Amino acid sequence: MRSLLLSLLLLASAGCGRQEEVRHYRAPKDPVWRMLGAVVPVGGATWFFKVPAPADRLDPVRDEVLSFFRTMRAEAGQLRWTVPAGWIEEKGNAQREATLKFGDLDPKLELSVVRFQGDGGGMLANLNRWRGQLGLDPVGEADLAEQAKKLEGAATDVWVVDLRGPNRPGAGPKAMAKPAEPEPPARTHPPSLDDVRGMFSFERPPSWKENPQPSQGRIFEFSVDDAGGSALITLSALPNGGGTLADNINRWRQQVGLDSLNPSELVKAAAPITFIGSDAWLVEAIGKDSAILAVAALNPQFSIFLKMIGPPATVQAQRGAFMRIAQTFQMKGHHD
Amino acid sequence: MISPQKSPLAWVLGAFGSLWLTVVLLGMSIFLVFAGTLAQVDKGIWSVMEQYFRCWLAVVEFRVFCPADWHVPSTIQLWNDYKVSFGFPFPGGRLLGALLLANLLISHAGRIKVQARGPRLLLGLATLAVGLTATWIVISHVFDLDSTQKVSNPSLRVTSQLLYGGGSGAILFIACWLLFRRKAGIVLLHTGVVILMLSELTTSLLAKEGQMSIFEGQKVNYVEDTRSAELAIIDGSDPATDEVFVIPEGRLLRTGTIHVDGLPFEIHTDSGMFMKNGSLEALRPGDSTPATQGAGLRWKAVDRPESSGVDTSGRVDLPSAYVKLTGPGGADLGTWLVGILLTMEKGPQIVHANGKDYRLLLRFARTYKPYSLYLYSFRFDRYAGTDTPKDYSSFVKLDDRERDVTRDVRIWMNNPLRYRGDTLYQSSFDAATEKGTVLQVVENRGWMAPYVGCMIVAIGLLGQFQLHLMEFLRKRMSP
Repeated sequence: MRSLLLSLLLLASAGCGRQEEVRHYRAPKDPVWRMLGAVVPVGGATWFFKVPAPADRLDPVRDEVLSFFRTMRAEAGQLRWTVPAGWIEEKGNAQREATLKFGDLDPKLELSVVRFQGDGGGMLANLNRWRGQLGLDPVGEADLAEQAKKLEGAATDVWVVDLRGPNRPGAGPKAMAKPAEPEPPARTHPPSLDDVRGMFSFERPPSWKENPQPSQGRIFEFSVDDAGGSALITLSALPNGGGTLADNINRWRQQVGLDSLNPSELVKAAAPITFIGSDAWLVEAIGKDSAILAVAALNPQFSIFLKMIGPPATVQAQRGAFMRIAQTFQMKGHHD
Repeated sequence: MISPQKSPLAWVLGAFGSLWLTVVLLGMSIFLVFAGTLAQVDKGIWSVMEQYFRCWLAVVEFRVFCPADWHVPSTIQLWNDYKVSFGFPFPGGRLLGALLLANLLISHAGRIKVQARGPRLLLGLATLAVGLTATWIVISHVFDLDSTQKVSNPSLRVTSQLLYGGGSGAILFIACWLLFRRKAGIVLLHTGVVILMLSELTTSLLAKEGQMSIFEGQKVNYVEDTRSAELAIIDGSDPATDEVFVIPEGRLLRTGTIHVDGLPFEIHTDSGMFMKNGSLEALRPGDSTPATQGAGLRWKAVDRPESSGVDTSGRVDLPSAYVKLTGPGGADLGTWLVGILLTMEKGPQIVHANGKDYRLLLRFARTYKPYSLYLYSFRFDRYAGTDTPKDYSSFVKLDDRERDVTRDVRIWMNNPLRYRGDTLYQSSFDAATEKGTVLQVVENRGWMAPYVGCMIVAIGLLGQFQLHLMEFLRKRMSP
């Protein structure tokens, strides 16, 4: 009996400690993700082509994809392309103009085609959005020429972006892991404006002036003056949604004297962008006397808007500064 | 007091086998379960398992019995950085279980006597050997080795597992009846209880659990334990494979210097710089940070409460830490922020040392498997016209080059894949795209033991009732 007890105690104590040894081993390489994309501006709009995949699957089809990009041509202000033999072009939906599948070459690969009015947020913003999706740090204007190269042999300007990174673009392990976040503490009184302002950080462009006492409903208010006139920049947050993207686009268009857009046009009037760590939309509405440039991060619980309104010349001149501050805005507990 | 008639050993055995001890131990177990359940308001279920149940000595924190708005701390600082838990020591689950097991065995060893002699004894022992062998075969699940659902209907499969346990239990009952006669059922049902207790012990010591997250078109050959992290330093200079150095979370929790053979730098850890659940925030002008290199110059880790055991959303803790690296001769290679969230969003950081680039990242603890799974597709079926889930399926290719096995498998709800001692369940999926699956991978050689233990207890109870009934009827019918 005693020996039995002793055996049990030994058995139990054997596994008492956790494995804490430093381990050293050789392992297969983790997959590197690759994204091959193209940006094609034609007739006042910009087309974005993108195919993300593990690098070892995209490498073999790279030349076919580039050959496809070379078929791009502008016809009557529209972009046209030729679908390679064996590929399948599927009709688009609300988010996409079209989807191209590679057929037997690799049935799981998809090349998405998205079209935006204007420049779709600009080459740099989109490049950095894609880089962020792959887990790469953003780059500046100086690196643009290296990162987006003009494709030789195409009948129109096709800017090719070829990126490799450690993260899977789109929803990645973050979505799988569901990080634990604490429940917000119950408040006995609404937060003061200073509490809310303290939640944000950003880098203000030197030429912008901040109004320390913004108007009702706004968290931050800036103004900028230049030769074209004065522009007002505001950051506001609205609980319970703040309306749909369509509502906001049409409201802003009305403010600058433009007609409302119908649903099929609305899709192309906003470009995707990352803002305060969330998916957001960049909207541009340029009227005769005034223009609006806005970023809307829409969320059913809490939507955030960064908006610049002013004379068209001033808004255009301050566009770079606006995009830069949009990229630097951060909120405690959020991360891009 | 020791009776003059009893030897010290007999006195100790008598005390260990007493019914009073049984009652006291059961009462303490109930209290421990109560305290451990309350503790899950603030802590994750696995932290509580380690702190209260899978240990010899638990520290029951006072705050688990206090309302949250009393803000009773979980630790108190004695001096400098030395902190202790603010609670009282109490026997842990492992100690209570061991004492209960000893109590059970000793009390029965003293009270149950073998009733058979001669040929009946021999027959009883032979039957016992057959029964124990059958039980061992069933528990080691030789019927289900490397199989993919021999019985596809889940309820039939559970029934067949219970029947296996029932079969071995029936043989054991016959052996007990031959050996112990009237007390056969009592002996057998307590044997079942012993099997249940030992199965929990072996599960806590030997079972391994992790998750395999695979996107469509991806092949994965490792599982990740989302309950613990590890610091990985990877030399990727070899084009074929990576050379990986892994420091487990337990070492990051302690202050010290870690020297790793093969690495040109040492890693300095600080217990105060490890956060069990840290979120990321952008550094603002004026913020201080311990980091002097890498992503920590733009981001900071902020300590968050552990995910709670009462959280039903399945969220996990994402640890973060600051580690300092020093090269040969103590050259400062900087203090780096590492974190699972940082790795997920930004990927690994690069440390340049001794002419080589090393990838530095905190990740969930990995265990490599001798097989890989390739996900063809994940399917989320809903009832027509609704969003109500009907079924989740993963269509995978199992590839085991060691055993030259390649086959297509469907893993879906309640229909796991069992392969090489692992059970792979459909657990979760990537809700954003519905193109990624999460499989729970459990390695537990003794997974059949609870089925067998329950069936043995059931047969013991039924057998004991039957024996009493037959004795009662015999007395009624005798003149």
